[in-house]
Amino acid sequence: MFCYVQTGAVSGMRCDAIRVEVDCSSGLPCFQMVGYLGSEVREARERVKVALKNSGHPLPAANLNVNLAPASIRKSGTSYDLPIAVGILAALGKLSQEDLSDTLFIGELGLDGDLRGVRGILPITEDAASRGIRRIILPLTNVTESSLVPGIEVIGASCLSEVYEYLSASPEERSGIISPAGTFDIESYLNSAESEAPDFSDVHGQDTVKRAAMVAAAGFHHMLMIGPPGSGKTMIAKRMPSILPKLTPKEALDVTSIYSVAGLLKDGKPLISSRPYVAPHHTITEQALAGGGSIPRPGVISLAHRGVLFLDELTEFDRSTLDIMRQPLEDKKIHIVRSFGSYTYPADFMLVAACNPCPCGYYPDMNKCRCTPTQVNRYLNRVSGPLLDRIDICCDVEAIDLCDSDIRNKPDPLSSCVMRERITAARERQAYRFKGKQISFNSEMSVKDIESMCRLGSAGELLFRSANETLGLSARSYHRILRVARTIADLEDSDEIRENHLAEAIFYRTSGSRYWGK
Amino acid sequence: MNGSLCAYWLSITDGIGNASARSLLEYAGSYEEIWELTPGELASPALKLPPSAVSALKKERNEDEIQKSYENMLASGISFYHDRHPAFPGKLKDIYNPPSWIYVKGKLPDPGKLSVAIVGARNCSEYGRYVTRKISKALGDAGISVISGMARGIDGIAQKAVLESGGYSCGVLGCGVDICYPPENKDIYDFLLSSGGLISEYRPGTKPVSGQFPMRNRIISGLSDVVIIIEARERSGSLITADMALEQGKDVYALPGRVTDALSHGCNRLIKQGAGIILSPEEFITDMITDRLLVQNTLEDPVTEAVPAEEGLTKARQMTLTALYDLTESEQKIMSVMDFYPKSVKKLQDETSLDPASLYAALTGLTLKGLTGQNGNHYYLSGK
Repeated sequence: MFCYVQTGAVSGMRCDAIRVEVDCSSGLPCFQMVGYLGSEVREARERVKVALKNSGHPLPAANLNVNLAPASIRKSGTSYDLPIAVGILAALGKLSQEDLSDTLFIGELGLDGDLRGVRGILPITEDAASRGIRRIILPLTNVTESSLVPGIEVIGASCLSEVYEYLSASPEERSGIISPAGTFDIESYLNSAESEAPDFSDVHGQDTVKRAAMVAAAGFHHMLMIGPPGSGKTMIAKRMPSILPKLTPKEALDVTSIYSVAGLLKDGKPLISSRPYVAPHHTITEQALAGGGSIPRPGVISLAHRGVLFLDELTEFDRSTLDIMRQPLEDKKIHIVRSFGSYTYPADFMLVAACNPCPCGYYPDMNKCRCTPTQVNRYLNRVSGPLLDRIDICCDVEAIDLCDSDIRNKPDPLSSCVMRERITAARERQAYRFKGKQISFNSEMSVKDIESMCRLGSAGELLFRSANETLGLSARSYHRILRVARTIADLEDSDEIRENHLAEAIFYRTSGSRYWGK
Repeated sequence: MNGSLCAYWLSITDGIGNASARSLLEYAGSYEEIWELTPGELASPALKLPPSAVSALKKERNEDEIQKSYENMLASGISFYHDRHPAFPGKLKDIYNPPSWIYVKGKLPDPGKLSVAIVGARNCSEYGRYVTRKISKALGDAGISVISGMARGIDGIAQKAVLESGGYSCGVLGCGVDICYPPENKDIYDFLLSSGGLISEYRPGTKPVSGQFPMRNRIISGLSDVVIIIEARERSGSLITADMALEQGKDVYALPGRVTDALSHGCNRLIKQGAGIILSPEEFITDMITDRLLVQNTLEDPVTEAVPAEEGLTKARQMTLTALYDLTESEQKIMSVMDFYPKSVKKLQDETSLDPASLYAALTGLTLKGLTGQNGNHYYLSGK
C-alpha cells in the first residue's frame, strides 16, 4: 500500500516542502530509502526500525520502499525520522491517509521511540502555515517555538506511541490525548522582557562618547571607537543593546528564525526578545563570520541581525576576514554560494568597532606613546579604507582618571533609561517619516530618500561646501553625513537639519581620518 | 694623479675608513704620495693599518677607471672635497675625528656667515613643531645658515622653514648624498638641492644604516657655531649632538618645556646643566650675535622686544578673531581654552563644560575656519 506524509526542511533561510512517500508491498523482505540522502538521513532507517519495534510495531517481513521527494533536493539532518515512521505505520494500514494529508510531521527519534527536538522549526512552521497546512506534529521541546506562528494547530508529543495513539483516535477524542498548544502572545512577551544588558549609568565621565553612542543607536549607524587600552571602549559597547529601541514583533520573529536555523535557541526562551549582541574574538575565521559549512549555517554577522556586532581590537582582525563584511554592510544580507546551491542570510547589524590608535595604544599622548608616525600609520592601515568608509560615526574614547574624585562624585552619569527615552522619540519621528516604506532607520535611507528628506538650508549648503573644500569629502561620505545629520536633527526634535546638526555629523565622519591621514 | 683623485680613490676603497686615511696622510704627507706608497711601506708597522686595509690598497689599481668613476660622479652633480682642498669647510678641520673628505650636492655653507644647528626629536610634539618653524623662519630672515640632519620631525621642519623664508640650509646625511632618507622628506631633499646643500662623508650609494647616524652628528655640530636642541627625550640622539657640540666648544641652547612632557626632559636637563635657554627667536638671535660681536649686514636693527607669552589667547586677540571669523558662542568658548599644547576632546569638554553635541559642532566649525589643527583626537591652535 502506498502512503505519503508531509514534512519540511530548511536550507539557509529558505524552506522546502518535502513529501515522504512510503510503499509497502509483498516480496523479498527489505527496507530501502532513496531521495538524495545525506548520511544522517540514511541512518534514519536503523533508528526508525528500532523505534517502531520498541513502540509496539515490529516491521513485518515485507518489501518497504521510502522516497523523500523531491529527489533533486539534498536531504540532511535528523528531522525526517518521525515522518518516515508515521509513513510506514500508514503504509502498513495502521493509520489512515486522510488523517495525514493536512498535517506536517517533524522530529528525531530515539531507539526507545522518544521524540527529540530539531532546529529550524520556526521558519518551517511559518512556511507550512503559508502553504495551508492545518496541523503540525512535532517533539515537545519545539512546541513553544512553533506556537509563535499563528493559524496552525501545534501538537507536541513526547514519543512515537503518543503520536500513534493521537492519530488513531477519533477526531473528537484527540484533544483529550494531546491538547493543541495555545498561540504565543508575542507582543506581551516582548513588552515584559527585561533587558539583560548592563546600564550606561555605570560609565562615568564619558559624556562625549555617550553622545556619539546615542546618535549611533537612534539611527542604527555604524560606530568606531578609538582610544587607549582601559579607557572603557568594551564597557560602552556592551551597553549599546540597552539603549537600542526594543525589537518589534516582526524583527523578533526574523531574529528567532535565524537562531532557530542555527540551532542556538535556548530551552525555555522560544523567542529572542532583546537585540542580539555578538562579540567574536579577533581570531575569528572568514567562515565563522560569514557562515560556513557545505550547507552553510548562519555566520556571526547573521546572528547579529537587528542587533550589535561588536568587533573589539578591530586592527587585530584578519584583513580579508573584515573585508567580507563590505558587501553585507551595503546589502544588509549575505549570499553564500556552495556546491549544493546558494544561500542567503539576513545580516542587518549595527557594527560597533573599537581599536587602539597605535601599537602601544597611547598616541597622540606624546608622554606615553613611543611609536613612530610610520608605525601609527601602518597600524591603522590594517583596516581597509572601504570598510572604514562605511562607518559613519567615529569617536575617541579617553582614559578616565577614576582617582579624580570630581568624576566619581559627579551626580548621576547619564543612564540608559534617559538615553533610551530620547532615542525612542527619535525613533518615532523616523517611523512617521518612513510610513509606507520598507525601511525603519535613517541609516537605511536610499539616495532618493535623502534628496527628499534631508534638505539643507542655505547656511547648511555653505557649510557643506566649505567642508568639502577643506576636508575633501567623497560622494559616498556626502550621503552618509546627511543620514547622520538627519538622525541628530531627530534626536534634537527638529524637522529641519540645522547648521549645528550638520557640523556635528561632519565631526563624526571626519574625526577618524585624522588618524589615518586622509 | 692629482690630490682629489687620490683622495677619491681612497674614499671608494673598501676597508679604508676615516682613521686609516688619516694615518696614511700623516705618514705620506699628501694624497698624491699615498698613491705612490710601495706595498712594503703600506705594510710597515709605523702605519698601523689593519690587514684588511693593507690588502685593499695592494690590489691592482686601474687609474682610468678611477678617473672615469670620478667624472661620472661630478657629472651627476656631486662634488668631492678632501680635507686639504681649499673648499673644504674650515670649521670641520678643528673638530675631534674630523672627516677626511666630504661629498657635497648643492652649495656648501658660506664660511663667513653664522650658522646654527637645529636638531630634535623625530616624533615631535605640536609645540616643538610650532617653535621650530618660528625660530627657523627668524634665522632664515636674519641670514643665518641652518644646519641639520634632514631627519623626520624637527630636523626636516626646521630646514623646510628656513628654505621657505629664503635662507640657506644644509643637510648632513647618514647615507650617500644621492639617497633621500627618510623617503617622505623628498620635498625637503629636492628643496635643499635647489636652494641649499647636502653633505655626507659616505660615498654615493651608501645605504642608511643606523650606525652611521650618530657619526654624522659630529659634522652637524662641527659645521655650526651654535646648536639648538628643540625637543629631546631623556635618552635621545639629539643629546649626542649636544655632547659633541660641547666637546667641540660650541654653545648649546635648548628649548624649555613642561616638566611633565617626556619630550622635553632632555632639553630641560640640558638647561639645568647650563645650556642657553630659548625664550624667543629674536632674543636668541640677539644673544648669539652679541656673544660673538659679529653684526650681520642683514640684521642692522635687531628686534629686541619680547613676544607675548603664547599660553592661551589674550582677550584682545580673541575679540579680533571673533570679528574676523564670525565665531559662534561655543567656538569662542573653545578658543579661550585652546592652546599650542594639543588638548583632547574630552579635556576641552571638561574645561568648557559645553554639551558634547555643541562641542562637536564647534570643533568642526573651527577646523573649517582653519583656526585649529588636529593630532589624533588632540586639538591645538593652528597659530593663524
